Amino acid sequence: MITNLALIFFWAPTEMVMGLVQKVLYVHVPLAWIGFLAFFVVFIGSVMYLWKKAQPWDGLAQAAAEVGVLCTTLMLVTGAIWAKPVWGVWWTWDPRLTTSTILWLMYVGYLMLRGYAPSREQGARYAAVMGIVAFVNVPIVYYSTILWRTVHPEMVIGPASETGNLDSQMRTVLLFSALTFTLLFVYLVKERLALTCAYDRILSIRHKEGIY
Amino acid sequence: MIEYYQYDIRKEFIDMKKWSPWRGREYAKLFSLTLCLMVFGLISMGVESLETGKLSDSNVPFLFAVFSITWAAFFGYAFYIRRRQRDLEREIAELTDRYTKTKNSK
Repeated sequence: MITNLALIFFWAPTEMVMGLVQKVLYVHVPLAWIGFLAFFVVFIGSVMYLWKKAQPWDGLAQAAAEVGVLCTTLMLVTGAIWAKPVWGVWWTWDPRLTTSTILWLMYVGYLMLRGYAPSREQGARYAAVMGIVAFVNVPIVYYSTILWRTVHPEMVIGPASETGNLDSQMRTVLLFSALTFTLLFVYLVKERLALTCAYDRILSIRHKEGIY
Repeated sequence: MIEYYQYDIRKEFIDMKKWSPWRGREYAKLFSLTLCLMVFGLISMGVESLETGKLSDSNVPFLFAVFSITWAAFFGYAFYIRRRQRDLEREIAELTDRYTKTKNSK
């Protein structure tokens, strides 16, 4: 993380048109990437939970959804902060921004569904279905700049990006940043999973003791 | 109905020292280091912009806002998880102790 910050501040060149605020890219894009990755993990966890009916898959989906919502929230906030000096507005109903907000709302709904479900098992089952359905929005968000007319910058990373979109030094820093954020995502999911397991352990002891 | 207490895999997950080797103090150290580097980086970029006469166009406050919000959120979340883990660890210890005592008295 510290190496990443050093690369962003001291090694990556400053963009000529936008100036220093372009460096937001090194945070905003990796946040979007790990948001998508998190929702993919939720999708896998949900499918596996419905198939195997094994609780660890549900725990994984829950942990990834929570970290994914955090990253998507930060992605929307950092995007708005970047937009103010560049576009002159904090927010505009651009297709990329709108679809991203819908994605965020879907996963906030996913977490709420878990929280308000009458029982844990029901919550896990409903959430698994929602985790699968909500994932449909991820490719829509990614391809929204191609599908609709948009003011959002072109894609700089992933299968639909063009190689000439970014300076090679900037690309290196961006890829390093994406890698760093991916490791941070893995760490946070692991920590969140440990929390779920500790909670399950308490349920187990209470069951043995007959305390509910 | 799924019985949550049936899964042995949980025993693997529950080893907190294996899964969560970091404690609050380590987080605080890393947070301070990240903050120092961020402030130093932003100040150096601000000075550079001042020297080139482009400070008004540099948007340093926006950049500062992005980095500080992102890092505060990540560290805040990590602190929150650690705190909850510590509370649950304490509860597990208390329950295990109580369970052992009840078992021994029988």
